[in-house]
Amino acid sequence: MIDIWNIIFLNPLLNIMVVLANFFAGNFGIAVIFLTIIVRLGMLPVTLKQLRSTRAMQEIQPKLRELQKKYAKDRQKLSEETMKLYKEFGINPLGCVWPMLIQLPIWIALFQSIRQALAASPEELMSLSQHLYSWAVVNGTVPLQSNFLWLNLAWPDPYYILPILVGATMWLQQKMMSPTSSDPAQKKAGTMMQIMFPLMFAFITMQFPSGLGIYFVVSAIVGIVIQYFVTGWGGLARTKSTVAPTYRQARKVVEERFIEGETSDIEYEDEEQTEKKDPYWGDKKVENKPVAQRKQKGRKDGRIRSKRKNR
Amino acid sequence: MLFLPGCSGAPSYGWAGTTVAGDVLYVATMDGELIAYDLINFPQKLWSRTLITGERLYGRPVVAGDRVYIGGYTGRIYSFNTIQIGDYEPGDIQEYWDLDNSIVGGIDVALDTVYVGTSEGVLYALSADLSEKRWQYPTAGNLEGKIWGTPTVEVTGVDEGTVYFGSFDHNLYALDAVTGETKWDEPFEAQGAIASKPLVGDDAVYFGAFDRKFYAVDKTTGELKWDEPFPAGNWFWTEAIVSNGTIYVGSLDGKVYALNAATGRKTSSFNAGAPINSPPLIVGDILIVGSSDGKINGLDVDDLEVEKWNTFSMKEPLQSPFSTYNDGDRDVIYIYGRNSTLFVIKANNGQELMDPINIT
Repeated sequence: MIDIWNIIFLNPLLNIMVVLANFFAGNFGIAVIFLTIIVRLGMLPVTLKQLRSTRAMQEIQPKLRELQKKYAKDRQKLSEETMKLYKEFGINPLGCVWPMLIQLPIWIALFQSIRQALAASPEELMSLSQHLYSWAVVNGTVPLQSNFLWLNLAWPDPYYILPILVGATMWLQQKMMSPTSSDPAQKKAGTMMQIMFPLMFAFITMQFPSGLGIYFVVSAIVGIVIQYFVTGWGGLARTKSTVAPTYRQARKVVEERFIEGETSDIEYEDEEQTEKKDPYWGDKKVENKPVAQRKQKGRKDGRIRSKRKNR
Repeated sequence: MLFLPGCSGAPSYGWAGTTVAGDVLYVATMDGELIAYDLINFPQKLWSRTLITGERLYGRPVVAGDRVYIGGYTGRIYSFNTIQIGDYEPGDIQEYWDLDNSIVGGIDVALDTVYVGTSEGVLYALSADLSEKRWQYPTAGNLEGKIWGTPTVEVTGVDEGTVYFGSFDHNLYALDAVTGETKWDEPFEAQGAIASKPLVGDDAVYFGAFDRKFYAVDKTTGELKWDEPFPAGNWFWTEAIVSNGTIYVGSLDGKVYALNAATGRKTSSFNAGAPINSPPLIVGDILIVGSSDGKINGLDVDDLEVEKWNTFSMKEPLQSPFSTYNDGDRDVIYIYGRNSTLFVIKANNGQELMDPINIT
């Protein structure tokens, strides 16, 4: 089993990484960065599919909960209605899973190949010999240079800069991916993920060779860029727009949106459902999101007069 | 965690092995200990000394004069007295020198000097009593590659000699053993890192490299002696031996090769099935070779495809060099496995002479 894994996944990535290191004059750090970007871009179609599926699932969570409440005692009906809902919104329930299953072996192999290539000890170097192809460029390049910037890639970062970078970039990525939900349970779960995941990887980075930390940082940055183009700032943007503890701050946010000509994502109390162009959903109807109540002086209904072009 | 299979890498044990000098067997263990056994009353221990905490040993012990030397991964070179000196019993007098950079290759001792290379890429020449540094190469700075191989000193006269060593910078160097000055106009450049101990012959130096080739280099000029180097299926790491004009060398491709020393042509080979990183040994007309899966084979020196005895299996990994000793009746081989077990087998038939000894 291990041999099959090595032949199909580990050895090809490892040898490509060594070739890249040779191309960059033996600089393994740049080779790791380059290969991580290449692999992530190569997996882009699958990644996009996964992101969209995940987001779609997040969007229909309120509707799913309604169905669960409505048909709590009728499992069959619940199942039927759930499938109808999926069909209506074009969602494959396994749509989040199979892209990840495809990507997972690649990430594991990339992680392992970095570890193998670093080969800090004599035993590791000897083990490396069993994974290399007979290419002259490969055998002429190892052992690889382990110095990159302030790091020795075979050892953890002694200044802890890399673990901080890993934690920060992963937190950003998690924040962008966080779902829009008013469900306290889901919000809580999301917050936990945003904290635990980055902390866990920061801790791992402190323990393991810094070459792996570089892989984590680059992978997270590429993930952030992909996420931005697919879903925008996601959770980061919502953090900015929905927190308006005072009337003055809320008004300021609204005015900024009007001046910029953007469609505000702040909804109005009692407003009818409107059609909005959503970057993902396109022309599909989107339900209004509840907002903090506001009262403008002199107005009884709490509505703020709109001066947008599309009214 | 799915990443865990790739997290740990190969564990580090060291692979220092055994050396026989006189009637004493020296074993450098996986636990960072040096033990001396009495071969006449084997397995009676003469003495044992624990080196500094966390020490890993890769080079085999070297006996020269009245001392035994061993270099450790912490960068310390140790020496112990091998004979009684005044009131001091063997093993009582310990001297050391700290190089502050890991030692993976072994040590060579000649001309009252200890020669050792380090991971920083410097070859040091220290006095035999480890009291002073005689010279270092390069004199300032370091080579671009680590020196993980054992240097080889060829003594050519009183206070005359040449030290040969390879480096991860792909070069084989030849230096004056007394002054440290280079002997060749340029070092010989292979196409891969060099971690093996050079074998010095009558007119050539033989060594293998990570480019999967085995070379013969003219001792005087530093130029390639064979028409072309001998290619194998993987790296050469272990040292070669020579007998009757034939070079015997193992490769990490799992094969041991017999090469004509004059031409580099292969005369025969044997596939052991697992990487060979212990140097072969010749006892009489039998070539004894061990592979990393713990199998020991006895082969005909004239034709490696002929097995002299059935494979002996240690049932534990083997990476250390082994030693031979004639106890008056027969030739015996001492092999130290990675699980800290010492095996004793007869050289003529590969059978165990006694139960394995666990050294912990």
